[in-house]
Amino acid sequence: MTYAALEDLIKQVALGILNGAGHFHCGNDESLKQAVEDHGYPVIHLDPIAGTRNIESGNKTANIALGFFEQGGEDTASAELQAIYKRQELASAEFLSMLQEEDGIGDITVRDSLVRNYTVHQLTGIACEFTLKLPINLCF
Amino acid sequence: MLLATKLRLDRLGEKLVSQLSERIATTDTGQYLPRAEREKLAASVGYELTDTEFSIYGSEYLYTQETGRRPTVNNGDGAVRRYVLAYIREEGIEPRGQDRNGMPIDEGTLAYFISRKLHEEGGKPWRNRQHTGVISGVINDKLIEQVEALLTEAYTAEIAEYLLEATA
Repeated sequence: MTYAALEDLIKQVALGILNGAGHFHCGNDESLKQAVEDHGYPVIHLDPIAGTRNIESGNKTANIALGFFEQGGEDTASAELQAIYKRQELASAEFLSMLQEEDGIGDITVRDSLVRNYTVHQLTGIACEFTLKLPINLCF
Repeated sequence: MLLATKLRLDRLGEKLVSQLSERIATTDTGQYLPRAEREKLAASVGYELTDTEFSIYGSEYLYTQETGRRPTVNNGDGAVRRYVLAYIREEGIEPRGQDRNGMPIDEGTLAYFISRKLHEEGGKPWRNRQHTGVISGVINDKLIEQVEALLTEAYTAEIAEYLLEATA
């Protein structure tokens, strides 16, 4: 599986979770800012995928950093903040469950971090970091 | 900055604040600061991360725990003497000796003498021109090297992404 194919797979799973209520973005924080300007909240954001390849063994891994965000703010009340975290944790759980069902995606161990006020749009929610071992194309 | 970079720096900030707070609260720098006051100083430590800046902050008094308290320049409000008295009681230090009238020295008198020395000559680390390591044990050249390595790796990925976008 190529990185581009993986990105497309993640996008499709994310769009399935959002079901029209929100948008998916992949890229750096500058393009994320523009995407939020254009499409609002919530947003599932994917950092550009980076990884490692061992040519001899054919092993390939992809490091994924994914954010599930709503609009936060400096003055967000504690109860509302907790509600955002809860909603986005549930969304991420649904996402990961669906991703794991895809062909070639094995067990996923995720490092979760609560995120508050990321970028000028004060994106708030949960970030998931994990590494995927990608299936190798034997035929080119 | 990329989400992954922010997460790394957040973890670094949390780790540094935790390490600094622990050292500040538990290290007796020989300046007669009671535990409760050290804990207040420890609680003042935090970090801030923005798009362009990563900073560790804390009470102005924090640095005196690293380099020692300087001799007093202005008139104090008796805080040093109160801290010293609290420290003496906390540590169970028993005054010995007698005053000029032959009366046994009590805790209050001992606190007075110690605080007078602190006011006149500064704290022990200051007098000995030594760093206690409360801060420099955590924030030092080794840490800077680690941060540089972390940022180099993170920003190499980011710069590559910007270049890809620019050429797309």
